[in-house]
Amino acid sequence: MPDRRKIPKCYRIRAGFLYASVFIIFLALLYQLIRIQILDHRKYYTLALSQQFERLEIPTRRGLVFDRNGLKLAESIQVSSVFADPLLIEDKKETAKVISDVLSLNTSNVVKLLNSKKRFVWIKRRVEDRHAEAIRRLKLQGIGLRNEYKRVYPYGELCCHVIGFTDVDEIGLEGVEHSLNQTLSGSKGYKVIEKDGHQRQISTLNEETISAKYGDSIFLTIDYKIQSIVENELENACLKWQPNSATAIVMDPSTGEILAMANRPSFNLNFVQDSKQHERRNRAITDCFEPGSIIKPLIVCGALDSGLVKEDETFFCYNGTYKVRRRVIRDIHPYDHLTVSEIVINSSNIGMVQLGMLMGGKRLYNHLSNFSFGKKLGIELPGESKGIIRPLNLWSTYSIASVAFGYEIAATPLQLTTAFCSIANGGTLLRPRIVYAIADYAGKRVKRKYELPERIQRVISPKVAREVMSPMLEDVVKEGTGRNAMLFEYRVAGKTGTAKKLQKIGNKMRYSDDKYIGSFIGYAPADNPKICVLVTLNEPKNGDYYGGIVAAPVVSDIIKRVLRYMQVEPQYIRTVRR
Amino acid sequence: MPRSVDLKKFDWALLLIVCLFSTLSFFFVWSASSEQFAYKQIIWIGIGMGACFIFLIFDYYLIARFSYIIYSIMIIGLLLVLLFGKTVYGAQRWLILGPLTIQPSEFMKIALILALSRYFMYKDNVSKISNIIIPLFLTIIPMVLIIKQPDLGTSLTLLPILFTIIYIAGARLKYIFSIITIGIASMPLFWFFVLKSYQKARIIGLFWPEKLSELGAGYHKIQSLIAIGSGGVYGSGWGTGVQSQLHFLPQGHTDFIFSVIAEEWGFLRSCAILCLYVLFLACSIGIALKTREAYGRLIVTGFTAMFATQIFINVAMTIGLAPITGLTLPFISYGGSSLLSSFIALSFILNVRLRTREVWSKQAFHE
Repeated sequence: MPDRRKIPKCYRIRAGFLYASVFIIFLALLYQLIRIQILDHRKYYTLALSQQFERLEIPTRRGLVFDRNGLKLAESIQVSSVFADPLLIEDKKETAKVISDVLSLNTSNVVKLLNSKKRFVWIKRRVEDRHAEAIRRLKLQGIGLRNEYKRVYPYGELCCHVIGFTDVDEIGLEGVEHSLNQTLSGSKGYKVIEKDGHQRQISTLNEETISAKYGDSIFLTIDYKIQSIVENELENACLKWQPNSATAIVMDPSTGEILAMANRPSFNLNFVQDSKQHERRNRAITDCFEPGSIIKPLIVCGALDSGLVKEDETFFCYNGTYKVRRRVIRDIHPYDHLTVSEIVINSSNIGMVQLGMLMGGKRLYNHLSNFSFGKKLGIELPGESKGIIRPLNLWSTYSIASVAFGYEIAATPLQLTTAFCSIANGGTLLRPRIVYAIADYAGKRVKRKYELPERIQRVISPKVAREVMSPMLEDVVKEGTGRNAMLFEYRVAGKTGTAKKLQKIGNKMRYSDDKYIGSFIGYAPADNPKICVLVTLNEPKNGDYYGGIVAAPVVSDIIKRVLRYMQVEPQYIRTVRR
Repeated sequence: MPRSVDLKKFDWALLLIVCLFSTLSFFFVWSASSEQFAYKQIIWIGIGMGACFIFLIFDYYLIARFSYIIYSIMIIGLLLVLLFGKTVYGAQRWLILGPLTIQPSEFMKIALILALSRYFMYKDNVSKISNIIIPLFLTIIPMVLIIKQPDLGTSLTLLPILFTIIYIAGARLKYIFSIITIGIASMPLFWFFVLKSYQKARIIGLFWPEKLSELGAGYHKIQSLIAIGSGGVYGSGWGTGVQSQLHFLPQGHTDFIFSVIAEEWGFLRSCAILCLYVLFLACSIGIALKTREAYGRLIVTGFTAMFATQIFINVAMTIGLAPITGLTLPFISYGGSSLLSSFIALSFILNVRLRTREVWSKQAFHE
């Protein structure tokens, strides 16, 4: 029997081992505690702050786009977007399944999003209200809804090229949405909130808050009513003539304001993603073309202004066939003697070539440059083309002849309209304008208004413009190529244009014999012009292509309806010479 | 038989340390949850201390006689839990007895210590392999029952108790090592058949923290580390710890109370508390060392092992050194059952110190 009073030796050793174990474990814990609390204190402290405070954006609101009378053309409405905080989601597969069912998304994509290491991911932005409500009712852990704004365009296709559209973050991509993005977007605000572990907001740090500044609203020079008329007429013309594309512009000649601007093909601003690139192009300013006869009055202006000719001076027109060196220039109808006015009225190419040669290349070039051909007009719309006017030193021997009746020079529809407005307003080239006024977000307090028209320069003397050119262009409509534009109610002045399209035949660029651009530009009333209207149809089909046939009636219909809408007194023309 | 209750031998140091813990418990349960919980905790501390003194009145040898009976009752309790237990946080750990909700697994530890000590009480020669096998079974039965709840953490705390008691009872080291080897060898079985996926996630999270967020098990650990780390040297001050006050840290008043203390009181004071715990353990090992009589010595080492396991695993868990288990910090964490069992364990340690006794013969014991 061992002595139980004594503590066995081995027991002492073993108890000592227990002491040692306790002490070693204590040291290990102490080491880790020092590491966390002292060495890595900064790191964990920052982590604590970062999960405790969050900088939240205060959404701003993008300004509205109105027409000149205050009709809403674009606005932002509040919609809900679904986001997730993946860290808070326990069962990612199940959550992903439920969400993708409600929002009709691909489940595996949602799982991918939920597996990301971020604490904020968008699941789907700008969801429909009923879907947002369904998500809200599910009350899923880690899934939330945030209010965002979505751009909507109440009139869909109307004026689509001018208004333009934005991307999903409301950054303007086209039209005034793009060119005036700065003005429209305003600035986001921020606030710092304190959150608790359940992601509930406890407080807002007021001193850190920067409030949002709403964007300014824009009033366009566009008049909804006029735009509708133009769209409607252009649509009808397109149905009738099936052109590849078409453009119409209505401008106020006294101010340079664009009252309407329409293109075909067009697209619906609310479904931009369904449209094609070529449909979204604002052809009125991006596409230049050889204008053909439309340019004749502008050149005649120069010839008259420089005193080289008088309007009643006659030129021999060689009965429809005229040779410039080895090139034969033809008129559609043969003429013998024509006055300068008659050259324009009958649109004689041969007459124009002679006038052009009289002026000489330099004068011709300078004169046309004055009209801003080959230069940007500086309208507040993106993608404006300069047009093409070749530098003088590149002109060939035939260039004068070509330019004189509208070839070897390319202009945008906007440039042509602007140039014609200078005839209509008595000789001043005005900068075309699309923005009428900029106001605060609500559209109440006007911040900037463009009262005075912006002059680019005087291009024609008032005398020539008023006393010679206007009657001449009126005669084009009364008795010349533009007879289809004639109206019973208003005195219309205008000019037709039919240009052959340059196209590639074999390896060479040649003028096509069956592809034309038919255009007509007119203004009315001729004695006191209120509007100037250009319509061009690119490659009209169904037989006819002359500007006087395909475009002139469209212009006259537009003029008639627009002037009526503008309550311009009808004039009732009594004498109609045919 | 002479009963030698020597009040001079009463271990005041141990009691003082525990009183300090209790005070801390009151304040930090308050800070981490609410005043209401703190007062509930005070009531439990009161009940615990009461139980402690009541048990002190009786000679621990009286209880020794009932060791196996107590053990059997607790086994039945565990079975009842599995059948009728209350489920909280996905685990069936609680048994409702009238107004009380108790957690039998907490008391199972005590019962096991008593039973094992009782088994080794008169085994002078523990070298026989059969003397190891029976205690092993005594341990494995409650372990399995507790794992079933499932409560892996509490279940595994029974193992250190077993080893310490076998070790102090004088078993040959080679037996102990062979048990440990078998245990390690059977770990794959555990991994594939016993562990639930969340438990696996916690273990993976311990070794490969970068996988934490994928498994979703990292939240507690990260928040606990952030809490402790942001406390720094001096802490943020009582009641101002952002992590617990703003509910970033879950279960701040129970399992993660050490994180709250470390955040609000900083390194110096949390380290001091850790030292107090080490002192507490050292004191009780000292009591075991001074006890000549086998049963008393064994139960004191058993209870020391129990406290050590809980303290170390709990603290290690909060500082990211151990997987997240449901183990509480003795005397500080909120919770009636855990407090009560801790106080009862304390009472045994004090009891053994208080009553230095003659060693009884086997016959005398059974009379």
